[in-house]
Parts: sequence; structure tokens; C-alpha cells
Amino acid sequence: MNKLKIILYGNSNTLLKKLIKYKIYYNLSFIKNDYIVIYVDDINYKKINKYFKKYEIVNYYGLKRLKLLIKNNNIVIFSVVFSLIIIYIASNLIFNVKIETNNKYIKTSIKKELEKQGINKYHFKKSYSALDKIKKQMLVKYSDNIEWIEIEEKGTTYYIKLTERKKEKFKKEDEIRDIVSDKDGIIRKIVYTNGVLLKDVGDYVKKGEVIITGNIIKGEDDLKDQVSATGKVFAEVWYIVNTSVPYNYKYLKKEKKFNRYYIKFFGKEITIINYYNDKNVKTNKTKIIDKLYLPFNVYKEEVIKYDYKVKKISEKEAYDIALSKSVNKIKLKLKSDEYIISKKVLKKEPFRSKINLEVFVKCYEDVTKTSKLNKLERGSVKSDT
Amino acid sequence: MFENLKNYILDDEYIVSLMNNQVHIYNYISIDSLNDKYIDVLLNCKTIRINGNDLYIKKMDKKEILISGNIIDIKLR
Repeated sequence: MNKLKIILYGNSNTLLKKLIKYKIYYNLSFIKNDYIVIYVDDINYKKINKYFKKYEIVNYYGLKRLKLLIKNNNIVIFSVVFSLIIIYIASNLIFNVKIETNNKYIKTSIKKELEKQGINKYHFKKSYSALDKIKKQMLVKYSDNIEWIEIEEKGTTYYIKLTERKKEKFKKEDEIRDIVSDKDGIIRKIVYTNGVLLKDVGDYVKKGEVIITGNIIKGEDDLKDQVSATGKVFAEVWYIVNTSVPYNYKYLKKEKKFNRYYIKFFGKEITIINYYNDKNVKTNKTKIIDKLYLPFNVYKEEVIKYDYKVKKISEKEAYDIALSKSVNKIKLKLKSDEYIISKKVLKKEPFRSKINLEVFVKCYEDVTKTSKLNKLERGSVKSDT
Repeated sequence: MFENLKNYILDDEYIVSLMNNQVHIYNYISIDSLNDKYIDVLLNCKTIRINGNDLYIKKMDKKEILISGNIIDIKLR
């Protein structure tokens, strides 16, 4: 509530009697013969205004005083607030972006990508986590050209430091080689551009056997040239997979994702949110606050919690799971242009607590492997083939 | 206990406190007379007279008043 300090002029006794007569509630501060100083609230001030003529408001207290202060100093207050806003904006704006590299192509590409991500002149600065995300995205996008990227903030300038990925250029004249088989199998497809073909589709090859040779031979054993054999060979390869599945089958019931935030203070971790104490977890930690003037760092940990349950399964279910596991074991090894041709169960052994399965799997795989050739003298010299 | 509860809810009992050159009265009804020698205050069915010198009402509110000055005696009638 607002209070006012008022000086009432007149005979003090008369004034006091008048105040009592009109039921004006007051707190007397000072009394003299020809004036009194009192404190009243808003409501009683209205009565004073109505019944008294000679009075003077000395001071205000409460919210009214604050309003008066702001009104009397509005220009100063506005200037201070405006200046603070300008300083805040100016210190959080990017005024320059410098990419430290001599490679013009990379510089232009990186610059365009950074502009798309909002790292450009007269844009607002990004947070530590946003910069981290941008760095990771750029490393993935430009994985062929850059080994590492670092975005450093110094004042209002962003310095982009790059480490270029150096690829070894293939020198034809140095690398003479054969194409050999990486595994045992029956050749199903050959694609070659350089060298001499020694095997054909349908031929059985053993591991290490030469399929395309780099030795160019004329006649029986007249070595004319040695080249780098180039090509790809696909063959039918066989695997036998043994899998065992118990009837008390453990499966993943629930996967729970959450973020844990913690402070690292002199090597000790203190959790702020989402403390957990479970070993069945997968985590990914990132630093979110790392300031020189703070004695601690704040981390964010992305946690995936796995909740396993044990279920009793029948022999048929165990058989299906074992078969699927066997196939998956092989599938994980295959690349995008490889596939499983067929599968056949060779042996099924059901026991009291588990089932064992032996599965024969036929795969279509890339068996290409290079083998360096020794440099030989041209002429009538026997080749390796 | 009932009396206490009644007093608490109704809050109509008057309280007169005597301090050093000051008298505090709580739950008064009105001020009957006022001058620097004596002040008459009407309470619930009674009147209190404060005699002294240079008496004045220092603080006045709806339910309480504070009288200051050189207090000689207080009479309840």
C-alpha cells in the first residue's frame, strides 16, 4: 500500500481535533505549534484533500514512489536499458567468419554450408551444442575432403580451422598387380577393364588363386608388359553356421531414452537431473558448458536404458529364432551388392534346455582382392601364372 | 475455552497498555474529548480518562490509538 508524508499547516491542537473529527487515521511524526507532520495512506489522503486546505506532500512511499522515480528519471533509465540491449546484441553478433585453408574449392563449399547453418556475418552467435552439431554434420557431408573441422570463437569473429583429407593418388606405373580370389567359391560374375582373364564364370577358385593377371604374355612365356589388373569378381561362397538358443529366452522388452545432465567438478560427477544406476545402458556424452571463468563443466549424457526379460519359449519358437540368428550372422558381414542365395538346415539337435542348429548358407559375394606383382624383366621370362 | 474462542472470533475486548509516557488503547469506540491536559476515550460501556501534560494523539487507526505526553494518571469510569 502507498503511504504519504504530509505537512499540515495550522494550530496543532485544531488540526489534531479535525483529524479525529473526520476519522482520518494517521501516524504523527512531528508536532509543532503551527504545523504537524503525519503519515497517511491513500484512502486517508483523499479525506485530507477534501477537508484540509493548507497542506504539503513531502514524500511518497511504496509503489507510488517507484513510479515517481521512474517518471522523473525516464530518460536516464531508458538510455541505460537501451545501451545494455545494444551491448548485448553487439557482443552476440558475428561480425566476421574466417576459414583457414588454401583450398579454394573447400573454402567456397564450407562457406556456403555455414551460411545455410546460420554462421554468417551479422547473424547471432550459436551455442556450444549447436556448433558441435554443425561440426558433426559437416564432417559427415564433407568426409571425402576434410579430416577434421574446428569452429573457434574469438570475440565477434568465428575462425574455422580445417584439416584436409589427403588421398593417395593412384600411380599406374608403380602398382602392378593381379586380381586374386579372397575366398573359396564358384565364380558367378567377372567385370574387368585391365589385365588378362585366367578364369571364367562357373569355375571353382580357391583362396589366393589368380583370376585376372597383370602379366601380359605373348606366346608361351614371352613377357611383354606388366600392368595393374583392374576388375571385380563375384562368386558363390558357402558358410556353415552353428547357433544355439536356450528355451529360457532373454529378449529386449523395453528401451527407455532420457537425458542426464551433470556437473564435472575437479573430476567428480554431480548429477543435476536424471540420476541412474544401471549397467544395461548405452550412453553418449557431450559437453554443453565449458567456460574458462567457471571451475566446472556441464555435460549432457544421452542414455538408452535396456530392459531385458526372460521368456520361456517352445521348441518351434527356439528353432525359428536360431534359424533367423544364423542368417543374420551372415547378413551382417555382407555389403550392399552382396546377398544370401539360399539356406538349408543341415542338423537340428533339440536338448532339454536348448536347441542347436547347423545351417548351410550360400552367398553371392565380392571376392576381389589385389596381389602385388614383382617387377620382372621384359623378354622370355616365365610368368607367375 | 469457549470464552477464548468467542473473544478471538468477535474481537470486541479492549486492551489498554501503559508504556513509558505512552498509552496504547486497542478496540476503542471513539474519542470524547481532547486537549493537552486530559483525553477521554470511550471503550465498551466504559470511559477512560488520561490526565497529564502536553498530551497528544500520536497515532490513530480504526481500532487503536497511541497517546503520548507527560502522563500523570489514568482513570476508568
